[in-house]
Amino acid sequence: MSKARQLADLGGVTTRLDEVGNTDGALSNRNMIINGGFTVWQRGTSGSAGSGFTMDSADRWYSVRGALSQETENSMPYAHITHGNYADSCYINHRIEDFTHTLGQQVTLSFKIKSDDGLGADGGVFVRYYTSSNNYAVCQPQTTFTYGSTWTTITYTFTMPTTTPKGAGYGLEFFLYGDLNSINNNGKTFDIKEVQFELGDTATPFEHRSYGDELARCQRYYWSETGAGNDLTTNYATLYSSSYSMCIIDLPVTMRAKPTVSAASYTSTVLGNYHSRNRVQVYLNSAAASVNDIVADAEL
Amino acid sequence: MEQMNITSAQYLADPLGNNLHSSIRATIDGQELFVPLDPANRHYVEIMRQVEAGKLTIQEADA
Repeated sequence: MSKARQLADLGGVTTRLDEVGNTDGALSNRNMIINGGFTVWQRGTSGSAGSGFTMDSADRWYSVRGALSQETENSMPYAHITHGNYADSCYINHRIEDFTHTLGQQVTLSFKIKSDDGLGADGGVFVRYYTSSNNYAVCQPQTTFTYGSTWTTITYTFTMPTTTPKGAGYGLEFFLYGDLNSINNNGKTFDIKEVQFELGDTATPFEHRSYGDELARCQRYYWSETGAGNDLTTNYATLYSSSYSMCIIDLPVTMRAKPTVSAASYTSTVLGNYHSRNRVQVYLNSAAASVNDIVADAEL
Repeated sequence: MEQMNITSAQYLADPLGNNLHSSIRATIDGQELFVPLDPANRHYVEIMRQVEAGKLTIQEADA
């Protein structure tokens, strides 16, 4: 049993506090999954089913061949995934940026899952990371589990490989399936909440973070002026020369990488862009111009 | 790896006149995006992967 687990249970604590967090779970910030509680939805609360990796609703979560949307229970959101019309499995995918401290360590993945549509005979999980452009290390092989129409807690403890990851731009990937079989489950749904990945051999209680904390973590990877709840989304450019202007948007959180930028509209032709991890600069072919509804994307 | 449908890509010139590229204007999955020249950016990585595979050509910046 991990030391964090012992302390979380408020009983049977037999370890020194300064030992906690060395090689097993820490007391706080245990969960390496960002938005594992599905509380942040900058892109909207209803997604669509695409054939490839689609991130169009819950922050930090891709869906593949399924629509990821928000449902709530006692005002707490969770992920509701509806299989699309594809003759293959549907899953959601999460990527952790910095996981080198877990290599060679025992780790535990836990989450809760249910299905209102009869799925549950072959739920699935798979964990990997890329070691080169075309090769990956398997952390947790594709494995099935069973679940039902009420929340079931699924837990996997495994030892991480020691092979060096490829590096920047590639993460530790988690694949969570409602049905691992490659069949068409069009319209069938499954629900997931409280996804946690932590050091140690035991799943500790899910770590609920504040919305502000979780939002800031998500904005390292994605920031949308409208999605962040702003109602002032017109960014006026300042005169830079007699013929063009420059629009500067400071980002609220230092992003993982220089972000890809899009906007709902520009009032003049874009001459060029310079993006740092903290700032977006758009050069426009007019002495007076503006950029509306900026989106900055630095997802893995 | 992630598959992106990239239908166009063009360098944007440096507006400050330093004879450099500032970014790439690309249409990816039907959306116009401005992609930084950053090897940690996933869109840039995929653009360069498709260029190396001979599936995509980045047009030079407008004069």
